[in-house]
Amino acid sequence: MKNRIAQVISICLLSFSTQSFSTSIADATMHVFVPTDVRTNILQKKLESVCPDFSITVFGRGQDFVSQSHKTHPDVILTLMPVIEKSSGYHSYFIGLKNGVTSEPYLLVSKDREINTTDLSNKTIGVLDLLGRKLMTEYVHQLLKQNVKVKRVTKREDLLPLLIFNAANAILVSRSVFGALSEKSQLNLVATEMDVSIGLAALAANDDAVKDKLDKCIKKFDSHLNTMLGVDQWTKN
Amino acid sequence: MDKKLKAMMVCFLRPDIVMLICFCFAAPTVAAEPTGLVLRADGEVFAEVLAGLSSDVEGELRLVELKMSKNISFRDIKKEIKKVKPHIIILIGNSAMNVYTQYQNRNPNQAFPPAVALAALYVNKLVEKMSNTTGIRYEIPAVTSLVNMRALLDQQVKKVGVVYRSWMQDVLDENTAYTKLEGINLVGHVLPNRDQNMVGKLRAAISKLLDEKVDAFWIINDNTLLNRETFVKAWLPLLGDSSTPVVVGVKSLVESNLNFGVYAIVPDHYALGIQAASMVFDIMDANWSIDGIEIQQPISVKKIVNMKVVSQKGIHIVPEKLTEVDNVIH
Repeated sequence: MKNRIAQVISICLLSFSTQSFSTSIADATMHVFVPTDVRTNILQKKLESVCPDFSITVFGRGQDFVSQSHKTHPDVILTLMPVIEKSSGYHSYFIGLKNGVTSEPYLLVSKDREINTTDLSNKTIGVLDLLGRKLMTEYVHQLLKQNVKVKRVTKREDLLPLLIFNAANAILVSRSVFGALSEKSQLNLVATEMDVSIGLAALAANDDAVKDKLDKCIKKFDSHLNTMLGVDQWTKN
Repeated sequence: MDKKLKAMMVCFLRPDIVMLICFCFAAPTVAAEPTGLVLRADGEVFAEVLAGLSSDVEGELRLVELKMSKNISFRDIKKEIKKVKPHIIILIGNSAMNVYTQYQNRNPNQAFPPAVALAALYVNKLVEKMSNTTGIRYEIPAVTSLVNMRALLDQQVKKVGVVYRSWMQDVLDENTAYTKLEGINLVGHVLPNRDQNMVGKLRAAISKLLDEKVDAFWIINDNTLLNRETFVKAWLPLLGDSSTPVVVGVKSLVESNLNFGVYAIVPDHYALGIQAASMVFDIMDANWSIDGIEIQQPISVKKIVNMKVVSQKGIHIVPEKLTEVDNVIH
């Protein structure tokens, strides 16, 4: 009996010590969601090669990123500013810049003719989902200052079919995405300028302790990786 | 202060009473969450569709699943509907659509909840025979396949050959209208619905399209035109050695080392589930009515390219675009 108790105690001690050991050597975690046409496995490999101190998970869908990050509270998130703003407890340490600014203008792109932006109330606007149904709908209403019908897609490349199949009256895309779409498609795409800008990718953490690791890793971000992330350089916040 | 009022305030300050009140207010909200009955075919891809659907409706629609099997009949569906009282029915796969159609036919005087059908072949045609049902088509339109392939290829894709049977004329017409918008001309060669010498007719059609110097071939998933015999005796001998890119809708035709399919575009099943969720929300917002909610085209796809075939056929591609392909076979 005594032996058995001793065995149980030693197993318990061992499991406690293993737990603390594994916690101490565990990598910091980083969740990534940045809309790009590049496949997630390629972005994941690239990030892992420059940030070996982080256990990285790249998400291809905004809603999966939001729900998983909400459940597991990663140390660092790398995503667009609107997503960071909806993630409580995170502070941006590095903000992406493109052409010297931290946000990018967005346009309404339609087929054949310009969309009348003064009355969008009966219009369906296609967007890439960043936040999930409710939050994304609210966000788009706030951006366009009108209660449009929001049609969400999970991948950036899925915006073009919305116009081809008349599933949306217009799509809300950044100027750079409009350029890429015009290159890919021979539809008569017409852009309507809007007074709308959305923040670029940023790196945010929920703990100062990972700041040094982040610093080390972001220094290795090259132009290829930055292009994938939709920025051309980073600035400290 | 009135004694009764004081007593009431004390009650409100007690945490247990506050919790009870909160529960009383919260309880109807939980109970009010609408229910969707999912009738789904057995299989991995259908489970993936359901996973996508569930991820998007989580917290807004309670899903109850009934998986199809040989033992499930329209009677089981009747029992399940009676038990679950669904606000909406989601039909995933042809077997689910078939049994649910039987259920509707056997209960003609009943009011059916709205239904969304997906991941089934020819949803648009099947839905015509059903009540209060809409859906998402499963077949990937040519324009989706060809615009994606054109983005990868460093060569022209303006004239694309396709062989089809006469019953598919409306499919071809619809696809031609979409591809025209993208500056792609579908050159169709029609074959009879039935013919004792289908292989011979198919060979002649492919040869004619090759003579017309089409930039690519788009192969329609049709069991009569694409089966073991036609593949071995017509498609492979004529297109295997040709340098013309072939885009297919079946993974196996591009995965193998057949030197046949260059590019495959297949449904993204998880995304298809999310697209269905969006349709479910539209119906929910319309107070569970499908009026004005038309059958949709599938929006999201997965792309597979076989680089061995690309190289053997001497096809030119834009290497940077490979990062946008889901599966690159080397």
